Amino acid sequence: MAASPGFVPQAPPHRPAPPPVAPPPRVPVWRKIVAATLGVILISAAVYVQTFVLDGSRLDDPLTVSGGIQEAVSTDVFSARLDRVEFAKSVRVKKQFGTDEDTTDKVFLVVKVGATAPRRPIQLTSHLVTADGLRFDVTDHVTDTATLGSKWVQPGWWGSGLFFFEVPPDKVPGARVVVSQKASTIFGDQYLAEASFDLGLDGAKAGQMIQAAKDVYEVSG
Amino acid sequence: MSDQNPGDTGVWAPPAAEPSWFTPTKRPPRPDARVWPLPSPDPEPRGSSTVPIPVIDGGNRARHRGWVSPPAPGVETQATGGALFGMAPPAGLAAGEHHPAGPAAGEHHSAGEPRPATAPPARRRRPMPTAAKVGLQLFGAVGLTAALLGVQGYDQLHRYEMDHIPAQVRHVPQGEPAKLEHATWRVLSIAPMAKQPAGMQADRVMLQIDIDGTALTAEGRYYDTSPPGFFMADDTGRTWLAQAYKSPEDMRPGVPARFNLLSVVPKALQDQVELMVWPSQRVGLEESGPALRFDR
Repeated sequence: MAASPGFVPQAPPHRPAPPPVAPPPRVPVWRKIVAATLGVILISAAVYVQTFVLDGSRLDDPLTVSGGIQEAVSTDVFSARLDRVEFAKSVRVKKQFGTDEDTTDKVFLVVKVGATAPRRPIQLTSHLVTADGLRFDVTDHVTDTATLGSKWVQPGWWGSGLFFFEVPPDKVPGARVVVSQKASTIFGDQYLAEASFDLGLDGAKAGQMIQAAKDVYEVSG
Repeated sequence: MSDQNPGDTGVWAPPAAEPSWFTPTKRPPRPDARVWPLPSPDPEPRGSSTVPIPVIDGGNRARHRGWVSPPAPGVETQATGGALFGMAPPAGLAAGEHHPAGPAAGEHHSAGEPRPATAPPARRRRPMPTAAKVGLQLFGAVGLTAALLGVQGYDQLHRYEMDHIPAQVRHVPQGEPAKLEHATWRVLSIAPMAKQPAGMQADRVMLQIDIDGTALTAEGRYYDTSPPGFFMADDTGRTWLAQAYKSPEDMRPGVPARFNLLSVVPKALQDQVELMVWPSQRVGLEESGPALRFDR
């Protein structure tokens, strides 16, 4: 009986050695250092650029233009100017029939704002931001018809009106008044324009003005 | 072991007179085979066997070859490998297509073999110049970034255009009616008020506008309670509010109803401003969608 030729696996022929690879060219040390430094710089730049990315809560922030008192501040949809800041202990609104008067145990901060629009009619609203970041909306102790919020700001001329805030006297120093376009709850642009005015009140000046606050502030509306 | 047959060992043996197919025989000695180092697994690629079909000579067998050995110093051992093992390869395998194509094996190659065994190894592509490689990578990075930003920008622009429909203003000749959504409108008169209100500044003037609206459908009847957006516009695109101080009591389809509007505009423009009608005041302030502009 003859043995099967395939009974024992036939040893394969030797695989030839791979062709000799040329040794990589020598890179000078200084070039390695330069390349490493460049890489670190590029990575650091990429990380630094990420700090400019707005986080989710700031993506729909309004577009703010800042200014001081009696300084015209222009945004794309309106221009505004903070004419005057006053304090009062009570506000009396004279209406066509009757008079509303409201007092507060805090203080009424009254700002007179002038405004115009470059192109289309617009309605404005306002809020106050204190030095420690608290936000005060316009007070509801004063009817809206007595304020600038109920008036239309139109192109071609400057209109003016008042905004009333009810704030604790110790929150007044360093406060800012922000005038912004009225946002619709349903429709409208998500990038609202606003003008931020620094009232320029430090502690001493604010205390002095609050001491000299009017007993009654009379407006018609 | 049993009493009847003490020679029975319990192992059944076939009768010696009748040799059978399973009668063990002496095995011939095996040829020497390499067991160490371990032979590499079968170098023959799958499907390369020609048994029982004989190999067809002259076909393209180059792709069946496992690998091509370059002309290297170790060729002699390969050529005599079969003889060393002392085994004759099967007839079908003897054509040499499974074996590396050394110089000796090349003699088995037929004339139809496209490449002689002594040919240089597979042609290697010329390496790309460094400048071209870097340029290609740079172009890829810049191109992909531009494509990404372009797609994102197109998406945002498309969404913006869906949300902010551009204005489609239709100019209406003087004194003619024009249809807007559910009603037709016709301007009767635009004139400064004879008796300007007290406190009006010198550079402004209050205009009084009379306009007739005719509801066409049932939806058009609601313009009496929620009038459309009336605006006065000048040539530079500035607009002023025109508000209805007197709306019709009732708007019935097909019956003209009178709106009396008031608008404060700069005095220098009192003869130029034209009335614009938008379906609502909101779209008028946004200036989006269809609108009418009545020429003066």
